[in-house]
Amino acid sequence: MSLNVVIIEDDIQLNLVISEYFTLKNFETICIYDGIEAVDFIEKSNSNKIELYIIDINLPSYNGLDIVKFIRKTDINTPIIIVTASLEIQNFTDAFDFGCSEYIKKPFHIKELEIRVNKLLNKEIKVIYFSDDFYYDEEKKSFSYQKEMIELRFKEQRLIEILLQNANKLVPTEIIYDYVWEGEIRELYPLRQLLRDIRKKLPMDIITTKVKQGYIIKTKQCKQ
Amino acid sequence: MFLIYDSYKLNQNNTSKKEIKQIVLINKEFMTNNLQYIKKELKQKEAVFLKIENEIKNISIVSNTDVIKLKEKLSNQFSLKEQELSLEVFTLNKEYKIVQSSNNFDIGYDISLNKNEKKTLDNISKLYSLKQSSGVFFDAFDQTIKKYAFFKLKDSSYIGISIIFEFSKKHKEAFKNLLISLHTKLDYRYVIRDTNKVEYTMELFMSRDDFSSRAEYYKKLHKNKKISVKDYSFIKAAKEGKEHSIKKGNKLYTYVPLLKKDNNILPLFADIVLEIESDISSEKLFFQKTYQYVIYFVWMYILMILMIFYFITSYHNIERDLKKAILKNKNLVKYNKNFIANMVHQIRTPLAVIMSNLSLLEYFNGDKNKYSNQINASITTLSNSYENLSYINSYESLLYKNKRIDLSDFLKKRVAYFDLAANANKMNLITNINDNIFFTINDLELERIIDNTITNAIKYSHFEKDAYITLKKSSEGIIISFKNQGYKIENEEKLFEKKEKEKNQERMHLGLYVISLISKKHNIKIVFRRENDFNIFEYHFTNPDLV
Repeated sequence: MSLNVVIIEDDIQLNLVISEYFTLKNFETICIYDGIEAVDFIEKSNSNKIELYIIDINLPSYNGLDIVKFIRKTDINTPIIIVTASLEIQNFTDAFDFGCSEYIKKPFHIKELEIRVNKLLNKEIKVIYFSDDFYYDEEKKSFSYQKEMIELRFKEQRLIEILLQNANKLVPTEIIYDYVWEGEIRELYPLRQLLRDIRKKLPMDIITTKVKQGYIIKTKQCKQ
Repeated sequence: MFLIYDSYKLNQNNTSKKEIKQIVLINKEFMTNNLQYIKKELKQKEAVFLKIENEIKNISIVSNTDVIKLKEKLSNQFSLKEQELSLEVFTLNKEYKIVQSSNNFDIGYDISLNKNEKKTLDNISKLYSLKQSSGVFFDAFDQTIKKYAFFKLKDSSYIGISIIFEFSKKHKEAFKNLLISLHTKLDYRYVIRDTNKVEYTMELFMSRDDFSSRAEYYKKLHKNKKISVKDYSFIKAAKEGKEHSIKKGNKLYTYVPLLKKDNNILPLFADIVLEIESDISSEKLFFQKTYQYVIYFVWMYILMILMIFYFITSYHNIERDLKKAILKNKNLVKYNKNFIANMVHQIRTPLAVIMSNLSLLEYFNGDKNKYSNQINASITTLSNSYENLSYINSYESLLYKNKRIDLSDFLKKRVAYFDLAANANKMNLITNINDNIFFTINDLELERIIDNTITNAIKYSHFEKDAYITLKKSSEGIIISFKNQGYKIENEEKLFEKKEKEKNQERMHLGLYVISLISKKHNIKIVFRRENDFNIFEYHFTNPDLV
C-alpha cells in the first residue's frame, strides 16, 4: 500500500529529489511549488487520501505557516513536517502553535527526513538485523532467531548495547569496562566470561575479538 | 582678585587718611596755639603803637624826613627791642609806592597791592592825621606780622609806619621740629590775593635772598601770570576753605587750610594752607601689579573661552563625525549580518539538494564508496562551519528557547551524523553513552557544542586514531567527554577565543568560540586536559535545575 505524501517546496530540485527518494521508499508523492497552488490543491483534494505534508516555510504567494493554518482548518490529523532554512525561533514556535507535527532544518540528510516521516507514520525501525531471521530488538533488549526470543542478563544487555552503539567499529575494552561495570572492574577475565556466555546463547558469532584492542559487533543493516 | 584689590585699597586709603588726619590735627593745634599766643602778644603791644602814633603827630614830618633816623628815634624812645618789637618807617608817593624806607628792601614796593593798606590810604582825608590799617598784615616775605599806620603829608605823599611782630625764634624752631618729627614732607604756604587780583602763594619759613627788593619780587610775580598746579592747589584750598587732594606720580598731595575763615584768632591766617606729601608708590605698585594680574587674568579668561569654544566646536565636530562613523559602522555591521544571514539562508537549500542527491546516488550504487564518503564528510564540515556562522550572527538577536532533551539519544544521533565524516578521515567515533540522561537546553545550542567538539576531534586526530565520546551522569552532574589522540594544543588559554595569533598566522577557533558562548549562557563548565597523547574536552552540565 503506497502512502500519499504532499511536498510543498518552491525549490524544484529539492522538491524533486525528496519526491524521488520517497517514491523509491514506496511513497506516492505530490509535488507543489507555490503557495496559491498549494491552497488550491488542499481545497480540492480529499484529506483522507493524504498521509503527510512536507512544507517549506518560505514559499512564494503564501507563507508555509499560512498553509499549515489553512490545512488545520479542516484537517487536524494529517502529520505536517515543516522544512525551513530559517532559524527564527518564532517560526518554529508559530509552526507548532498552528499545528505542525515536526520540523527539520535545512540542510538535512534525506535519511533524517525519512526517519521523521517514518516516526510520524509509525514506521520506525527499532530492530537491528544480523541475518534475515536473526535480529536484536532495541526495545525488548533481546535477540530473536527464527521468531524465538533469546533473553539476555543485565550485564549481557549492557555489553551488546555498547557494542551496538558502535556497530561495526572496534570498541576498546576500556570503554566496555566503563559502560558495563561502570569502571568498577577493569579485568579481562570477567569480560571474556561475559562474551563466552553471550556467544553460547546466539546462533552465530557476531562479535569479533581484536586481541589487546577490543571487540567489534558486525550487523547486516545499520540502525536507522 | 578684585576683592583683594578692593580690600587692600580700602585698607591703604584708611591708613593714609588716618595719617593725614593726624598730621592735620597736630598742625592745626600747633598753629592755633601759636597764633593765639601771637594774638595775645599783639594785643599787649597795640598800646605801644598808639603811643608812637601820638608821638608822630607831634613831630613835624615832611616827605624828605630821614626815615632811618626817625626809626631809630622811635625805637629807642619806646624801647621796642626790649619788647621784641621792631619798627619800619617809610615814605610813599601819591601812587602809594614806597620812596624811602628804613628797610631798603621795601623801596619801590607798591603798598596799594595790600588790600587793607590801600583802603586805609584811600580813606585818609585829613592832612597830618595818622590812620591805622584795620587788622594786621601777614608779611609772608619775612614771616612777620605787621601793623600799618599812615600819615598824610602836604604834597600828597605819605609817611608809613609798620610795627613788626616777628615770629619768635622759638616758634620757628618749634615748626621745624614739628616738620622733622612728623617724618612727612610738609609745605606751609600763605595764599595772597593782591588788589590787582593777582593770586600767588609764598612758602613760610623760606629765605628769599634771591631778590634784592620786594618790588622786584612782585614785578616778577605780576609778569608771570601762569599759575603752577601746586599754586593752584594751595589757592583752591584757601578759597574754598576745605581740604582737597591731588595725585601726581607716586605721590598724593593733600591741601588743608589750617584755620577756618571765620576763626576768631587771626582771620588772615585762614590763608595759610598746609601741603602734605604722601608716598603712594606701594599702592600704585600694588595697583600696577594687580592691573597686570587682571590683564593677565582677562587674557587667560579670553584664551580659556576661546579654547572652550574651540573644544566645544571640536567636540561637536568629533561627536558628529563619530555619530556618522558609528551609524556607518552600524549599517555596515547590519549589512554584514544581513549578508551572512542571507548567505547562510541561501546555501541551506542547495546543500540539502546535494545531500539528498548523494543519498540517492548511494542508494542506486548499492553501497557507500570512499568518494561519496568524502563528499559527505565535506558537506558535514561545511554545514558545521556555516551553522557556527549562523549562530554567531544570530545569538544576540534570536531567542533560543530551552526544552527538555534526551541527551543520550541526541548525542547518539549526532555521532551517527558525523560517522561518515570520521570514516572519511580513517577513524571511528567510539561511544560510551549511558541511556536516559536528560538536560534542559536549547537543541540548536546543544547541537553546536557537540558538533563542534566532534568536528574538532575529527580534524585534529592523528591518522587512523579513533576518538572516544562518553556520556555519563555522576555526583558531579552530567559529563560529556570527547577524547582524541592528537597534537598537544599550544596556548590552551586562548583556545576558546575567536582568533589566535600563532607563529604570525591567525587561526580561527570559530567552533570553540561558539562553544564558549553557549557554555557561558547555560553555565556549562568546560574542562580541557591533556592525558598521555590524548586531548580531552569535558562538558560538565552541573545546573541542578536543568539536570
